[in-house]
Amino acid sequence: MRAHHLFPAVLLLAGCGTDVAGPAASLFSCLLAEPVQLDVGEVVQVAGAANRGLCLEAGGAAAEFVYIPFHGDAKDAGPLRIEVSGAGVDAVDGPPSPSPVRPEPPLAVTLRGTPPRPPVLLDLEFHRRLRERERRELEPRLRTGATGSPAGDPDRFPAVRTTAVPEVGDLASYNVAISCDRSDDRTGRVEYVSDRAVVVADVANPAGLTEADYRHFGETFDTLVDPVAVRHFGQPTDIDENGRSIIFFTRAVNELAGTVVGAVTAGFFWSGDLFPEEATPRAEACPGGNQAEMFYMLTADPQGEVGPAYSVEFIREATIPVIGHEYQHLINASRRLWVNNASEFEEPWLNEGLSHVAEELLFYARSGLAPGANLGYDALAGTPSAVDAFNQFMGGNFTNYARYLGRPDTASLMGIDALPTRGATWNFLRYAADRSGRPDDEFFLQLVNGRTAGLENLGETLGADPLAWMRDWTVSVYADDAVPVDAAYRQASWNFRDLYPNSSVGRFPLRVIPLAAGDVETLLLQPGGAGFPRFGIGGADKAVLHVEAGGGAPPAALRGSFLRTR
Amino acid sequence: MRGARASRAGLVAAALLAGVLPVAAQEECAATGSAGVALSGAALRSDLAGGDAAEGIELGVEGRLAGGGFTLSAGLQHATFDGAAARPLSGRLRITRPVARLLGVTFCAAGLMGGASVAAGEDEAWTVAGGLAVVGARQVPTGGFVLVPYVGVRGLGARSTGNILGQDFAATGAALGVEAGVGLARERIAGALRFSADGLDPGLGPMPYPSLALRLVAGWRL
Repeated sequence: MRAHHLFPAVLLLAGCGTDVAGPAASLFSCLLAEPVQLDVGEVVQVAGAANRGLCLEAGGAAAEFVYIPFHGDAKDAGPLRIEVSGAGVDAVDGPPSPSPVRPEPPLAVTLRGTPPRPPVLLDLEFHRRLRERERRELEPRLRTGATGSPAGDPDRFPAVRTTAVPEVGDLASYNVAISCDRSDDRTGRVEYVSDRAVVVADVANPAGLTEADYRHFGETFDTLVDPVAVRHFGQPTDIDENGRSIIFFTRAVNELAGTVVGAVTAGFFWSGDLFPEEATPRAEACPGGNQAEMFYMLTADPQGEVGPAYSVEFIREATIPVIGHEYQHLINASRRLWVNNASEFEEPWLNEGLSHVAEELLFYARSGLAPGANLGYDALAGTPSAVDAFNQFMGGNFTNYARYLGRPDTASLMGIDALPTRGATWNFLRYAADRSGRPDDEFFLQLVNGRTAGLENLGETLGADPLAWMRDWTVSVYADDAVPVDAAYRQASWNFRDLYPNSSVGRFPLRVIPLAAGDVETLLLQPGGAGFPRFGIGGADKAVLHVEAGGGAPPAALRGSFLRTR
Repeated sequence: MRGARASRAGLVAAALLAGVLPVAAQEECAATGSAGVALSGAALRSDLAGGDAAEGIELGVEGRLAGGGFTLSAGLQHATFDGAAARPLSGRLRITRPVARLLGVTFCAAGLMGGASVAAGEDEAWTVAGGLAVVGARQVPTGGFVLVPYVGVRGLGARSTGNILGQDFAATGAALGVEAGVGLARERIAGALRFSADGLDPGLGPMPYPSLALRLVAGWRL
């Protein structure tokens, strides 16, 4: 090194030093800095190293806080391990979160006073592999430079197979292999034809569903599912020019049981059915697809001939929400493929979240209630048919969200397809739609019709950093209906603090961590995950938290919120 | 050539162990049998754990006594940070000796020692710090004044103990620091403007060597 290079090098080194590890590093913030006083409901948000060393002052009255570290990073980033400790803190366990324990909530949430529903464990492993296969096998078949139809003109879809409107009794063959290359043909008989649906039953199905059931499904599709979905997500394509979507009840779905022991696939949609049999300027061929807007539904099997037994009553109860769920997938994929000329399908976490929004929208349509009304138990119990509609259409969402609330750190709204992921994503999308101030049919229409996917699509719809909104949402998860907070931290549509205690869950199931002086709590935060350490301020009237990641300062992706709760 | 490299390597080694004297180095190193007193005022910045910093001011007194080739100087400072109740008291002790002269620049070696204490209510903390420094300074006569620009580096170690918010703690750290400034003297009047940056961890608390300091000194040479 030349001599004249020495001094700059020394200057660069100056200021470098060893780091003090452990809680002591943050203590001096309460001696040398002006303490922060928050009013009840007030929030301070920090990022990176600033997650530690914020000196909070009680201000003369007993004060309680919750610290919400949120791992705001892309979903592919690894988990972030942090250690949280505090000085001057007291553990608190009173209201609004009386129980830090976390027994698993039931698999079928129902409102108080209604009979329990049979628990259903959805086979999300199959669903996850299906969505991943779509992105892996079908996205490469998209030709991004070509247009399928003029964007924004829903009446001009390309017909990849022209078929006449079927009639009851017609037979048709469908490949259920979920593959562009393999075949597993099943014969279906048209059981009912409505204005917007063709209800088909596999001729090899076990006896169970009746003509009246098929009519009910077709008519409900016309009067409930299709109007709600089209209004909020857009018109599906009509590549087979029959003007309808095919609802295929087939034992092939029942045969999927066994992927996870005890789990059920209630139905599915596969984007390969929307690809042409021969290549077009827009898409390469997928010969194994059925070239039709269709989804596959679980059928009744009271005797368990195919697999686990499913009663007719169970299928009657479960089918309509599932059709609504799968119809969003169908609309989303068909419009990306043939209308919006997107280069990719939606990411699974957001795609599933939107399908759970579809279920919620069906609840509103069926009950006559509306989003934004902060629905609690009394509002539902006082509205004819609302309780039944809740149990049918919202039970799944409340089940999934309860699962998320039980493990908000290791679960994530951007995680792999799992019940907690779905619950969190649905809840976030509802929060975001409400916070945006835009009508649902405008907000979700834009989101479903994005040409990008995942966080990028979400950011374009929000017009804001989606991770910042997710951080605010984590505050709302705790604060809504428990602490008087700004609108950005509220969930305007549902009063979860009232509904969960009045449901088969019996309590608000958010997992909180009572933080006492001397405790070191370790959290493993998935991208999108959050924790809820909760504490009061002890006799010193001041408290400070210390947060470390890997023995050092937390990275910028750790976005924390301090909320005064009492 | 090899000898030149070796001397440069020695200089590098000395520099890495060194720090800057807080008053004009050549004045101290060269002056024998002299003494002085001064008042100091400084703007401080002390880093905190969260990446934020406490900012404040410091007032102090300094004294210097030289003899036998050594200069002993000591200072006592009282700091006030914006919005904070605690007002740290810190002291510094330094002994220096010139060790080399090269191209008109005098190099001095120094031993540094300091301490600080802070208390507010039931919270209290103490810090001791020490290290080695080297400074290079050059005397530049200008009119009736003597200007002494200087710069140097120091290596510091520190340990803090105490009890804050009911929590006992003890923490240790080490860091490099740098100080640069200019001394000014005319007859019996002396002054200096000093800037220093030290990297001791914010978890060590109030320091005789804060994260950043801009210090103005004015006094008499006896």
